[in-house]
Amino acid sequence: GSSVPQFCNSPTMIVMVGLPARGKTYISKKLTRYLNWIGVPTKMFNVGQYRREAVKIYKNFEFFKPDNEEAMKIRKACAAAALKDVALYFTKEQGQVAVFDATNTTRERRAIILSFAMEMGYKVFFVESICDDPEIIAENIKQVKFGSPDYADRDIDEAMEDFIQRIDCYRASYMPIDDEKDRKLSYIKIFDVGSRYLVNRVQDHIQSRIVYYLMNIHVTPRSIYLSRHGESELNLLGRIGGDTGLSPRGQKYASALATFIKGQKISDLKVWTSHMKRTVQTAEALGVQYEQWKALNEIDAGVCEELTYEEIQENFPEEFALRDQDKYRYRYPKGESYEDLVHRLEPVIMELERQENVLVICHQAVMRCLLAYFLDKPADELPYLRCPLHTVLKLTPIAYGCKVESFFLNIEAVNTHRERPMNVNVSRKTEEALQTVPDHI
Amino acid sequence: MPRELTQNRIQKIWVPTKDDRRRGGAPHFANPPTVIVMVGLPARGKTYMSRKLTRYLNWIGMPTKVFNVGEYRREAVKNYSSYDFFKPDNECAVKIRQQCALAALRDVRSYLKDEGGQVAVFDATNTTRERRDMILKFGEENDFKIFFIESVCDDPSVIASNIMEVKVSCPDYRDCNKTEAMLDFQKRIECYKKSYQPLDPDRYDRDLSFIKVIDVGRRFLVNRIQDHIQSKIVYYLMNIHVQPRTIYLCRHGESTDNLKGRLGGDAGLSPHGKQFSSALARFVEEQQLKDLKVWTSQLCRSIQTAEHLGVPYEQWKALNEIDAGVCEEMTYDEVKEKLPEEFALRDEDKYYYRYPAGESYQDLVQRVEPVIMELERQENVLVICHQAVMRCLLAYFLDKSADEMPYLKCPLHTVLKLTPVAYGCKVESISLNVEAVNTHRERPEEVKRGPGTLIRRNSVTPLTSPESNIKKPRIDDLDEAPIQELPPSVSALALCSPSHIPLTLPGQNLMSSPGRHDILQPCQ
Repeated sequence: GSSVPQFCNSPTMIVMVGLPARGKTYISKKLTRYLNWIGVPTKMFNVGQYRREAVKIYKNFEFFKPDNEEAMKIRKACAAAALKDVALYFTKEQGQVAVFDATNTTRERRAIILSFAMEMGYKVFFVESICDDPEIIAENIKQVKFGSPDYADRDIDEAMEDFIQRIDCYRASYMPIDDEKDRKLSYIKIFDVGSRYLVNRVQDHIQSRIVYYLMNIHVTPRSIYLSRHGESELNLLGRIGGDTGLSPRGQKYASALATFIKGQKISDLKVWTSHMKRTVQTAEALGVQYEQWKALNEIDAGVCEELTYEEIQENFPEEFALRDQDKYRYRYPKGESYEDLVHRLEPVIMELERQENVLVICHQAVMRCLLAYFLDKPADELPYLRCPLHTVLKLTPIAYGCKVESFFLNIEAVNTHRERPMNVNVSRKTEEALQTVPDHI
Repeated sequence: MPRELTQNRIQKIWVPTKDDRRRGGAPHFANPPTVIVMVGLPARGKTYMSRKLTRYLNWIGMPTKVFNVGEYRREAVKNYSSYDFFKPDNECAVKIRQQCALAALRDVRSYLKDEGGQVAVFDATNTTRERRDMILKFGEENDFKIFFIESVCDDPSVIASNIMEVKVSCPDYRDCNKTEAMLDFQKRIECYKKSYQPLDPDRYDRDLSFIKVIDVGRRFLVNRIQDHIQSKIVYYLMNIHVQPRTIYLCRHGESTDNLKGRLGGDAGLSPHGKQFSSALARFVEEQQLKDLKVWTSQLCRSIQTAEHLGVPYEQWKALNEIDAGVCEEMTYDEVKEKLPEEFALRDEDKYYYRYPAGESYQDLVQRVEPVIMELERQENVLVICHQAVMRCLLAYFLDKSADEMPYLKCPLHTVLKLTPVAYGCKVESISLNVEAVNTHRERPEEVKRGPGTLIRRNSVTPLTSPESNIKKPRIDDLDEAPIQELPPSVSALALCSPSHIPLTLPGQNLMSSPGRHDILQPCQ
């Protein structure tokens, strides 16, 4: 089981709608990443990829001309193949949500999808992106289309020219979702990159969450800085959890962080900490306003709070082994699991999406959760992501993902990263359990 | 040099030593105050949404108040005669209505600037551009953000139902019978229709921030959300509905820890607790509900209780009891003995007090908010939870302040049945007649109030939705004969100040209740 009720019964298909370069794939990828992170198994099906598989070499926009019968056949077949894979994902892979990323600009195509879904018992939720601002379109094309395999051998101007004509091929037959004719459908229309939304017939919890998420994301350039607190007294002793203050080196890091941040010359930086002394102390050195979030507190290690790994092995060897077996789902007795952490952090992620430049000063497990969200890391990798002390990670959204830059601020600190040991069996020997424990006093 | 930090004694929040104010405890998102402006013809649910939204915002700690212009009008014009008052050519009346709107706006300004308010809900028809432009100007002059909520609905059966539910019994119609009231009200609506200019997202109003709620939430048009609070308001409005339904709140059956007087922990049910669970199963069956969802926490006693029902249930970690930190599994006497200062601090400010390495009621509210959001989406739900959690949920439904919340009575083996009615919630308290210990600690008589107990502007404190500035008939005791102005049916409908509603739910005498007490407890 999980710590949050599962609200999805019928699987849901999210069907993107819109002319090319309207952000459908951007939205699809981001939404998929978000849903997976909160624990809803989601997969994206991009029909363009099926087309690239079927037609190895893309020549030019003529492929997309509505009167190109040969191409039409192929494109229809690709859509059908994608739908088949959607069905397989739901039935064989326990998927919960499938994001069907294609233009889906004709009523005919949408009718096919609707009848497929009805037959299979899937819910359908449309996400239509409408935008006529030529600057935004041009920017989208530059950001993602030039890097596409379709234009690998083209120069920028050629690619732009071709893509614009590609869009024109769709335009004539584009029938947006209609307020009257489609009044029974469930959908959200996004206008001008989020300036306005039209939401119709939200059926259930997951659709409501999707709408909320879509209404909170934006595309304004910004950077998110993630850092742990400076080295703490307990860190030095190899003890987990607790609420101590910074060690002398931790204090140095706090000052170094202040210098680093000033050097970044960020406009309007928001600074967030947890409620624990070590993050608050670190923020204090910055000399700027900061907000404290209880949700950013380190994972609660329950009965293991303030113990060293050696002590955990001595007192709770079975628990210690179980944790190594499934570090994501394992919940400390009277404490939390990484899975619990993710749910606790969801409002933080939502607000991070709304914000622009933010520095989050948090803790190892918390930072792993946040990082996994931004870098789309699955649950089994999340608890082993490297988030060393005294290192700032700078995340900047680009194209469909996130660029990461790592800055070690040159102040020594203990290593707190414990890799998964080879033997995770409850019957293992002490040395095997402690094989990967980092050094401490 | 970085500033010295101390952990403030009640909330356990690390603050610079020199600064001992009570802290928000949560990020503040509202900087300039916001005026939410309702828009729509009469009987479109504006007041319903205003009150519900206000209750929600106050509960999550955002000081909010409703300013209903109709109430100002009733003050100014003691006796409503007929819909003629609302005719657009009734110059005298038009002047009065204009004055009322201005008076209300003056009060809005004073609430937001001088009384620590963060959000004001301006509840009136606001159906003309002229009126809305006036409000926008008011917002600009005072540096208030403006967010419009327009309710559009043309379904005659919905309108008629609204009129029956809240209009025919309103003070305006105290001397009329229902049919007369209905007819007059419909003519009143016609008076507004001619001059109604809905928000125009394509041209005139394209730069405004607003949400249009169409056909009671079937459809929404959202334009230019500016900030966090507007985003939350939109999310909330999209999750609420008006389908009739019932929410049942109860605690787990008595646990073995309850018997020993121990806090927290994860014990199983006592024999009486098991009896209660069976009684609960019978009770649920008797209610004959279609589609009841059952939710529990992830603690053993709550799950064991649900198991007796023999129906599927969902476990929410968010419904776990308040974490008593180092005090977990102690009795109150042990806490008093081992941690006397903590014991005293808790009594000083029970809402904000955070157990060392544990939680406060304030933390609970944040934790439980997604549960509230999902409860709003759902229909019939039974929530089997814990004392502090149930108090939080109850405070949301009954609009209780932070001050009252930790002392709400939620005894074991008693089900609270909540049914939305008019603008509020009807509560029935049903004891299932199985003995249990009493786990309720009253607010101590002599409580030394330390410094920092003043409610500060922007502090995150659930407040009861404040009563309006207009003198309303006060009903001090629900058993008293209602004051003349209101017909008996209205006195039951929560026009009284919430703080006058007794905290004790009648019928909770656990040891000797001879049967179920279906007490109607009307409240906001």
